[in-house]
Amino acid sequence: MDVPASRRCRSIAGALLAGFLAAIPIEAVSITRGPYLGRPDDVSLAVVWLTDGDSPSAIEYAADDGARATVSDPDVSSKHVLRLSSLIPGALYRYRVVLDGQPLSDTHAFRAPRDPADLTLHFGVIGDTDGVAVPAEIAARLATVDIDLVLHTGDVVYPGGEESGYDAQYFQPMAPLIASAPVLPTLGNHDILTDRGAPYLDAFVLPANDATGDSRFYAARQGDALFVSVDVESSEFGAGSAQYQWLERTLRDSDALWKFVYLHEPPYSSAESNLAVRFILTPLFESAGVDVVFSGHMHLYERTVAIRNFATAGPGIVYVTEGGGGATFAAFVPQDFSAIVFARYGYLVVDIEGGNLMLTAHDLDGSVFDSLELHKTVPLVHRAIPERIAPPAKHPSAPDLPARP
Amino acid sequence: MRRLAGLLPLALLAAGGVFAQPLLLPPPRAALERGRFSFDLEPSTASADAFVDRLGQSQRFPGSLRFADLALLASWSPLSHFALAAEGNFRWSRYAPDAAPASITADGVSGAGVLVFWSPSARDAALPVTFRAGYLTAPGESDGFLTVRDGIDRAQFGVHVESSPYVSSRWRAFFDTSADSGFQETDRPRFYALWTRLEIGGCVGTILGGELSVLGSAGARIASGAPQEGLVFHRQQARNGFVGPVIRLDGLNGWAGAVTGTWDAFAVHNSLKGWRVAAAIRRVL
Repeated sequence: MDVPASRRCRSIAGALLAGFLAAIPIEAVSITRGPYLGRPDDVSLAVVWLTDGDSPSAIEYAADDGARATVSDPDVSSKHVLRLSSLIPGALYRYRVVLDGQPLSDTHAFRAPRDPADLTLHFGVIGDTDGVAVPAEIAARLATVDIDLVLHTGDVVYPGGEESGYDAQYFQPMAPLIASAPVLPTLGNHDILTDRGAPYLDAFVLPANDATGDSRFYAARQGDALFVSVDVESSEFGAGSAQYQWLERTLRDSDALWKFVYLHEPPYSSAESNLAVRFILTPLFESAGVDVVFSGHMHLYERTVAIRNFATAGPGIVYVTEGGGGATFAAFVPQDFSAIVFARYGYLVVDIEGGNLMLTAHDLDGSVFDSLELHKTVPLVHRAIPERIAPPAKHPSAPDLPARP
Repeated sequence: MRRLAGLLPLALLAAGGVFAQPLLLPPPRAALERGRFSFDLEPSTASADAFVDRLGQSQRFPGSLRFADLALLASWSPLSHFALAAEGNFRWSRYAPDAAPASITADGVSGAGVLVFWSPSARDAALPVTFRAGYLTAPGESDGFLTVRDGIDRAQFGVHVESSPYVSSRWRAFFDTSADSGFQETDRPRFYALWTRLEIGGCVGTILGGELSVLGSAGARIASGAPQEGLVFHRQQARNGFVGPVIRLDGLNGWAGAVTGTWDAFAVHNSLKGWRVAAAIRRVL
């Protein structure tokens, strides 16, 4: 079929214009936030960063054993979220943000999510990260520890979880940590003061729950442990609510050896307990075999003795409050359920090797001032050799990444 | 027929009924006559189905939360229009979560107090008024879970107004309001509570020589926190509104009684939500 001359001219002009535009170099952009890690599901990580201009997104990453890959998104944007899938479970990776093949960020390292049969796990716990100096010190300390992920017990940005406060109060002071370990937070009462937590939900890449479809509450599996974030600030959690039913189902259906719940307001605290949480949720935690419940809200460190059926006799759940992220200390009167309560700034590290759990509470200088050991018998089914996911093929154009710092 | 007037003690129990409502029976006006004694006994039971949080979200309990209270009040009038009173309260609490193998209970004296009453109104006034002032104590709050005491000592001031039985009308109305102010505030915001209740109804007949009245009541309460419920949920403002019927039987030769059932029906915020049933009996000597 003949093409009219005018249409041929328009096509040629269009092609020339497209070629011209393609030849214009993308204006130099720089990173204004990140990169930091998100954890959208149990087998992937996400790398997130913001730039001061629109640009395509690209990440180069490589496992320590040499497998290298690039993941990219040609769509231009100032917010970049790239999901890294098909990672070797539990393997160490290096990554950097690139633009046009040139590095846009330093090289960082992370550990890929472990598969359920992996009996080793290390994670940190922080909370109530108010101000800049204390969170920065905590981040610097934790960044030197080999951890898979970090739980944040809520109140990420003060005073009201404003979007404008995230860079100065969270992303910048926490930069060394959040580039190498995903932070799994729970909503705090301060976080929800701005648009019911919209900046928080926008900042973190988290799993979505299948009850409401968002990440106000969610669960993540890492190795032989289940981590469940409960929202006691902006969602209903009473019996019959969507969250309660989801929580019941999620805890009941998990075969994880270790089950951890984290929520902002502690059901047991020598400063102030959230008794609604105690009334409504702790019986469910107990019946579902939860081992440790982490909270914040009270600006101190506290570890309870094992509690079951509202009493301190015999085995039960240990409730740990880690709210020493920089906010003004809370007043407290030690209660009978308290094993130790101490107003201090710091963080927790939890190391799991099979059926052995070691929790250590650290000061800002890294020294350990409290520890807890829990032991379980590992069922044989948990010792099965996992079927590893095949590593990604080497990307033909991916350059070697600098050595892991 | 002698008729109730003035409110006596403890409109808000020192540690309070679970829904912090006043005693049903104001002291009979006869108790404000010099040399008279009055004794009140008021058992009540309450059930909370849910806790309504600060955002107004109802968080339903996965089990039953029950309270039973017993209030005792004794007053003596050394002067006309004036009475001294003492009161004490006992509470029993029980929570039985569905998922737990056993229930937990707590009980004990929830509070005590001393009050004074003054009614400047003449015996046959159309709207007799009674003022009260008191000091109520509830020491020894522990962890707060199912505690029977909230640990807050407080001063209380209140006013009670009612329609006079000497006015020839079948309509009956009662109005009571009070303000509490806490003394202990070292590690928590200063405690205050404002409470009001209105009853309107009519005399429906006589039984055994006493007047039988049926009334509808509605009330509201606002407080700086929830500890007055004996359950420290949050140290933030708590409020609730309640409605329910009241049946009163007065004037049986020094005896009086009342029964009420109320439920939290509106404006519930940072507070328990449920129902309460109370009965009261009085003997004036």
